[in-house]
Amino acid sequence: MQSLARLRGVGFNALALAVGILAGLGLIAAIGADLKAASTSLLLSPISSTYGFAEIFVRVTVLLIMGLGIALALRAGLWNVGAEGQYIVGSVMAMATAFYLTSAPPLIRIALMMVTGAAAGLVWIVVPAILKAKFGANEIIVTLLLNLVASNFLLYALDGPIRGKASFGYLISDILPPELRIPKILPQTRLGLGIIIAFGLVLVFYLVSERTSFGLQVRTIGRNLEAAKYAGVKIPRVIITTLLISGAMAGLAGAIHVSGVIFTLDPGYPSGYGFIAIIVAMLGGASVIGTTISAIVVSYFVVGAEAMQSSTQIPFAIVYAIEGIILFSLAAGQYLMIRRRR
Amino acid sequence: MNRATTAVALIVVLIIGIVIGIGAAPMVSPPTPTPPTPGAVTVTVTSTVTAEMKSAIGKLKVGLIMPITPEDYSWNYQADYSIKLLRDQFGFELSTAENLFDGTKAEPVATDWASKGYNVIIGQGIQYQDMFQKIAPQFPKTVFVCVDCFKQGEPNVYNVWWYMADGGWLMGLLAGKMTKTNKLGLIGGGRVPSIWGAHEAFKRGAKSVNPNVQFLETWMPFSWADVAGAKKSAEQMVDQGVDFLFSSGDGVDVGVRQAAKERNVQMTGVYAEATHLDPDHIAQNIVVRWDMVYLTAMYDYVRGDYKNKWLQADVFSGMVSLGEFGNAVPQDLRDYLLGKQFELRMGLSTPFAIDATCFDKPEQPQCKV
Repeated sequence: MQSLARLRGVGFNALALAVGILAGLGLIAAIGADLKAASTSLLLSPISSTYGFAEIFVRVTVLLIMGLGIALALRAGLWNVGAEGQYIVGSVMAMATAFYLTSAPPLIRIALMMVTGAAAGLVWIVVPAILKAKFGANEIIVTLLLNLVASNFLLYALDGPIRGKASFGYLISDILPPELRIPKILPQTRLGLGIIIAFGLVLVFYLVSERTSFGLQVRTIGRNLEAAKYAGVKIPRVIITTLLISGAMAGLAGAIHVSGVIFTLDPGYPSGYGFIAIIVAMLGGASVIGTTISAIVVSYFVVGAEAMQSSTQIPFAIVYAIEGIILFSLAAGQYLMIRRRR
Repeated sequence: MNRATTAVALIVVLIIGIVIGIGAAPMVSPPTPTPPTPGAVTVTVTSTVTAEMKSAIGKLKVGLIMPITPEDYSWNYQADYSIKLLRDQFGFELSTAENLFDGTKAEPVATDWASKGYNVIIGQGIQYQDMFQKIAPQFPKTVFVCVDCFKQGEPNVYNVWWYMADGGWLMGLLAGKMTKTNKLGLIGGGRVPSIWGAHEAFKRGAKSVNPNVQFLETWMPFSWADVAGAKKSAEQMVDQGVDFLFSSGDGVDVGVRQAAKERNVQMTGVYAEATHLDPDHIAQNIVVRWDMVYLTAMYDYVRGDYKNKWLQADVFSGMVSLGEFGNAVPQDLRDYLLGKQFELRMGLSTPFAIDATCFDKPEQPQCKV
């Protein structure tokens, strides 16, 4: 019975995906672009070159790490809509660590970058977590608004503490020196060892979710708050812990992305990964395995949509719109499926 | 699932849709330009290249990355127009990417192209400088042409130093002679060396012909695409008595053009020939011949002489020139300005000097104009 429901869920998601792709292609047809080239690019370009294939896993790395944290919160019935902000402050603090803690050996510095990145993400969600746990404040609003603060924190940092020594009027940090970069695992691509960390975290999250009392408490709170209270679960503590882990994961994702892929920060660094990761977690049904699969599927289409631009010369605005339509369709499909189950 | 949860889920879906949708919004509202006649440009391009070289260039794969959209009728328009002009002449394979304002945004595109064997990848802006230096070592067979850049390091990064100062000086001469209120406004996007140099040269040019002139200057701190901010700044300057505006490019030009028209003042723009958009208010433009710049880079590439290259685009090289004059510019002033351009092009004079240390320390006495 459960496997039938899962199968139905997969079918529903596939249908939503198909609707999203068709709507996106409809938009391409409407602007008069080459439909055949666009659809080929969208569907095949991610697997037609080593670079494209690697790029899927570049996106998986960041979306999966953030998605795991968001999914954990979702299992407790909590929405961390502030992952984007936590990702930004995690990236900034990781860079600040690299530039200011210069005396330690490189490996220690890389490890410290990861720790400070995660810690920054955690700190960024402390206030929403306490407000939620102690006063029942709406965590969606609070975490969402902190994204704006994070964006401006990035601009402040780029104009001050981490401004590049030779930025010449343009807001950009210095580039991380090679010894502070997470090594690449495929030459001529951007794919680094971060993907190994991401899949390692999948295992950790799976064990925590399925094999620990904390995982059980999280699920219980998410399914039935009253039952959790009755069972003696310390709800505020679990809520705070869950949200802190979620924030730390987003911060860690930022630290890994900046030290493994980008190596520098500028005002264009935020790429909406924090929002896409919410869809990843929703699509995955907030489960660890589901989030892993949906991170791969969503990354595939994000890379395909971006490749369309160079192959068909349609404006990037249309590419972003198509990306948005596909993701929106998936999110809406997920919502309808949940509604149908009730 | 209760109603509250349903509402929360709906809100999240809506928020995600809105946030993703923001990425789809165009950054610059396009004017409705009339395309200029490309005849003169075409003749120059083809007359400098042999048939053998033309064939070699025709086999290249070329990519152009632009920070905003070509509808600005300025920096991006001129880049897009010039590369397509060359493509039509030489037949090389071309890809363009727009609205990639920062190096971090453009990096996946540049890396993708390089991994697909693109020979020449042009980054139209200083913001791509560090990104090119970073990815270039992985793709030694690709030349990364960085426009408005100067950082040296990787041999296959081909720097094009956009020397805007002498163009700015010419605009300053024009403004100094045309102003009636003796108040001139300067509006820039990012305060980067090339644009800052043009602002300083503009001030020196204006002062040299009109010692009574005063300046109001502002920068759009985080974006060359801030059309609304540029327009508002221009209007505020006009309110303070400014009757001639110097706009130094990109989306800023779009906003200043709108303000100049609505408030009936004169202005000059940069990069593209735009006087025909509003000849009653656009007095002149510094026009940059990116086609010559790009072709020189491609030419160097096919000759195998592209490593550690430095190309300066300025009036002396012929890559920068005056555009068409607006209706308000009298004939004697046109002749005067063309004469000054001739002197610069022939290397007959060095009419102004700018201390480069003023970029970081503008408070020094020698930096005051």
